[in-house]
Amino acid sequence: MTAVEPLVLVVDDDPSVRKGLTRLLALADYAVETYASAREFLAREPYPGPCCLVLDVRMPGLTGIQLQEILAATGRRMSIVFVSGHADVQTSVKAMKAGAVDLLTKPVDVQDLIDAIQRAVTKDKHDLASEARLAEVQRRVGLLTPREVEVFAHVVTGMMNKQVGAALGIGEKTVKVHRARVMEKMQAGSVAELVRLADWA
Amino acid sequence: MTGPQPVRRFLGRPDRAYPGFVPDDAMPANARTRSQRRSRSAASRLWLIQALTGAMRVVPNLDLPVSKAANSQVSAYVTIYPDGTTSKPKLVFEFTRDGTATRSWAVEEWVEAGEFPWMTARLQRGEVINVSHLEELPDEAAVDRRSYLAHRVKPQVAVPLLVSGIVVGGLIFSTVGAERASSDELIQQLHLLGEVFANALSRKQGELEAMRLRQELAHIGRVSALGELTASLAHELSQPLTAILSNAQAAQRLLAGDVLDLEKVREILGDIVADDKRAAAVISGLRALLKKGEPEFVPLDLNEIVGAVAWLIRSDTIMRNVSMSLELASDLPAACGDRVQLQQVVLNLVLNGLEAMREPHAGARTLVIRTGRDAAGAVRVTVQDSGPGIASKDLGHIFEPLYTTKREGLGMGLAIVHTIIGAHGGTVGAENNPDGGASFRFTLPVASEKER
Repeated sequence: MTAVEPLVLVVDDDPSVRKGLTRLLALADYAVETYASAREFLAREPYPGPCCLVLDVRMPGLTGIQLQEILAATGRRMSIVFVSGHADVQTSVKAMKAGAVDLLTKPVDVQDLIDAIQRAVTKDKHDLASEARLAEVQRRVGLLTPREVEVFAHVVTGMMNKQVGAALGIGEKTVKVHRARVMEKMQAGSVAELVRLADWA
Repeated sequence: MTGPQPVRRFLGRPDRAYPGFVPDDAMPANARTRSQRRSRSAASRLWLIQALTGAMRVVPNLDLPVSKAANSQVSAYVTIYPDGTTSKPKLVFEFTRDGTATRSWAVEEWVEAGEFPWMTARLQRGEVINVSHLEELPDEAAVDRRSYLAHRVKPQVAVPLLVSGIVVGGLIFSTVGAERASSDELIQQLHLLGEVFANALSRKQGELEAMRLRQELAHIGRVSALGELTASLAHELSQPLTAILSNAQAAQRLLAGDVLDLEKVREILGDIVADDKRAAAVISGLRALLKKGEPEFVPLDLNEIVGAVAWLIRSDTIMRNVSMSLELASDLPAACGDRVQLQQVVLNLVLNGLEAMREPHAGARTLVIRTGRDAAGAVRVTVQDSGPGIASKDLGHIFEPLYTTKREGLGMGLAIVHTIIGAHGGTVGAENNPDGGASFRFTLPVASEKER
């Protein structure tokens, strides 16, 4: 996990709203960045640390919901708190189904907003940790030779070396050698640990 | 006194009010200010004088019995029962010898209907009353007799005013000063006069009713158009409210802190005030559009009206993904019209254009509102959309009431435009653009020098 501070990114087309929310969140000790449109936000480099997107549903150009879809389609996972002046049921359901942390109606109360942001940041930290772990496991899997991958895949199903050898048409001893390499490259101390790593991968 | 003249039977109480010539206390609420009520009341009296003098010219050989005595005069009173009840009859005007109305009576010169219960009851039954001498009055008219004496009224002839068989009021001729009998011929003439006058009232009432209906319709149109705008208006209001709440809560946090940054608090309060004004502007814009009342025809800048509607609809165009642009002529002369109604016209045309672009279609969604002048010099407003255009079978009908090409349409929007512009002496039109979409336009005559 990185040591970068949590960041709140506010996307709202209304300058007064951006100013008011920035003021409020700064007083609640959040680092805040504001964007006047979805496009302006998309032009920003993805933030490496935990963050939360406070997103207006209704904006000129791309709407908040459309931005959520674009982020999902491009694989940029973000914790989103929607704020909306007039959210209909359909929009709310769509936003929440697509993984939004919360949808608050404007004018939004500071405590509700801070609670939602807090949950979003916590979720983001958790997601970041999982992502980091996944990336690490994938990195380790990348070190394996094709044969070792095959052995890895069989071992984690609970097969004995002999059975793996039979399945892959190689000798038990060869399986043993491959298996030792797999344990080493995957940095697993036991088969149980290897199974857990396989789950993440 | 002579017996009652044969009249049509009183068919029952009228079930509606008779607007336009009602007493001041029954003036509709939309005559808001005192001065408006007064001017309405004056216009109403002026109309009555014209109608009555007109009626008097129609009756052959009408010779109102005016004595030569200096203190004698004939007064004509018109009394109207606005809702079929015996409300205050109103002294309306006074006639001189030649039968021409000279002046209307001052508003404060009221006569309470309660002062003449016997006469009022008979008038409402549709009877003609002819009293030559006060002694002729029956015992049950004791109250009336006292009132006559108090007002120094001597002979009196009263004829009911009937509209479609319903008594809506009475026309009462009284002589102040000398007593004098009215001849049967005069009674007949006054009866005829009453009928002619009642006819004029009836026509006027029809006109007023039609006008009221038009206004009502336009109001309903505005309310329903606003229904379509609810989402964007909620947005327009929630933005400043969000900013206000954030700022206010930020200020609370600042105040709760150890160090008080007064400069910061001052800055926050300034922003709160600005956003509150912004919210108020949204509401007053709405109120201006929803205002229900008498049309007021004044010289107007159409550019300003287009601007106000564009501002109101801005958020809606954003949601609909429509790019809206204004092309306003800089040297546009003023046109004479009612601001609320013309805003309604522009709003309806804009909503119509936005609706046309609702279905998914290729190409950009653009809406252009243009002001300018046509070949004849009239002021013209055009709303151009990039929708599918108008099918040729619909082109001739789109301004007709209840004609709609939309699944959920009522067919009222463009019909209201047509009605309002017609009442303004302007023209409406629609055509397909050469490069796709449709254009709707209306023209209004330029306000004359006098109006400006």
